[in-house]
Amino acid sequence: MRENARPLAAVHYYYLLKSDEEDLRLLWNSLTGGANLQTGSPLASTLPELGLSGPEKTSGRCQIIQKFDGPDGDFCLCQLSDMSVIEVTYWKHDEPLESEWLRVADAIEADRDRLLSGLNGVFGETTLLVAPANTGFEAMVDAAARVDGAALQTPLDPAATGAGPALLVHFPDLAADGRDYYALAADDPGPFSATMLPEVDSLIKKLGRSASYFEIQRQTVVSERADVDRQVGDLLHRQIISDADAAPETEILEEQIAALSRLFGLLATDSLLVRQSSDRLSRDIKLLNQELALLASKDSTDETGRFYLSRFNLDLAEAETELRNLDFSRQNAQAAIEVVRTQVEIMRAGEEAAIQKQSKEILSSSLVLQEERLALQVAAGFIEFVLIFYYVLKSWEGIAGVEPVEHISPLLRLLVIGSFSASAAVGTHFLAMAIQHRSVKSVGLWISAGILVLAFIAMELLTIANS
Amino acid sequence: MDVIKLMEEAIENERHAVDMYRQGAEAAEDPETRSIFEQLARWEEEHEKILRERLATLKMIRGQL
Repeated sequence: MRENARPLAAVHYYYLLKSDEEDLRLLWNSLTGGANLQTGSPLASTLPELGLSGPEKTSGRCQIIQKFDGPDGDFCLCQLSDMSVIEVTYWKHDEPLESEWLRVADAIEADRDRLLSGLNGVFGETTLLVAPANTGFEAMVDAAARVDGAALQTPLDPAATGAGPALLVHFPDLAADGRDYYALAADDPGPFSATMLPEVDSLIKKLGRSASYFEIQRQTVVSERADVDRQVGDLLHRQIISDADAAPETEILEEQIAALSRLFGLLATDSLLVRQSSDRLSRDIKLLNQELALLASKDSTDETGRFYLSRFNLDLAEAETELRNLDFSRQNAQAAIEVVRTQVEIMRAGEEAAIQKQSKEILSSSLVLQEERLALQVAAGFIEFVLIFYYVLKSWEGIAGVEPVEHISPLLRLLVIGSFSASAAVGTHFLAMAIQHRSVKSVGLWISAGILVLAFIAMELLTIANS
Repeated sequence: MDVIKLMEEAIENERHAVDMYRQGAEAAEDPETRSIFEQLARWEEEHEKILRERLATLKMIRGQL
């Protein structure tokens, strides 16, 4: 029992997040009438002096920071890993159990509104009604029978609680707005009520909050997933329709890929969120399981544990189901992206084939043109040769006179004028190429020029010889 | 903007709305108007409560991360 060995009637717990320091200070001051709240090193080392020497394991995690004995109740501030707990202890007056509990319940309710009005809101509250073990079991069973709803019984392990035979009854159907109700029958509930219950209870509250938060998150994710599934279905349907009529533009398909990729990203983000929630639930359920296993008697059924574990495991199963659904939707989106991408690739391949065909046609046309140009060049060269031949002959006759020219052998005349005309025609071609390439390093040009000069000299010599 | 700050602002706005509807209810000259304002105030109080719960859960989750 606690300090002055007075039996407990009830304990009311206020749970606050560690981050809500100002609310903690306000609530502590309101409860204690302004007793200074000491912060800093926990007073865990003083536990034995306070009569709170619970098992080392639990007292090590739920540490008492400060105590204050008031005229109507005692107050204790404890620290959990991420939460602060203010415990208000109500001592037993020598009244019958039921009237005792009613008195305490009235006392708690009387002050609640005043205490909580200036606060942002506490994380949760719990009322623990206590009865002596010898009379309490029957009384609690009677009380449980009168409660409208379930009364879950958990016999506590005397070795773990250090409190002798004890029975904890939880009333889950009375829970509302973060408030829970328990009843305990035990001869020495001190260690259990001071340090052990807050640990388990805060864990159940946190899990309840996480599960509720996850449920809202899950509903949003389910709605988003349904929307994504619909959009993916619409896009694929449009693919089928467009296949039936005419092939869509590549740009439209690329826009569809972008839209599908965005949806895929949305599903991936949702999966991450659900995975995080699922991991958190799984971790906390495991922790709760461990805590309950420490508390509950090994020889009997822990109804409270069974109730909460099955409830939270159901939430976990829903998370796992949703993860599978998200994976399935993500695979659908991925498949849709592949379908549209393949279509784009097919279209691009078709376009490339058309371009190649066009290139071949252009190449063929170019070859035909080249052949035609060559034929024209040959024809033009021949005409040029004939014209030069004629004019050279006429010019030779005009300059040297018809008679001397006629005395020259026709074969020799043909050879000389033919050589002159051919070298002139071919030389013109080489000259044009030399101008085009800005170079006179053309063997053909020089040979042509040489033949031209030799033919000219031959004409001169033949004229002189026949004059 | 940090979501916690955003939710705190939203809670403040709900609080103002509750006050405004309560004043409206007090100033109402006929029972029907008063009833409408009371209903609106209750809705806003419910919103405020939901927001406070979400805020606490969010703080708890962030504290665990």
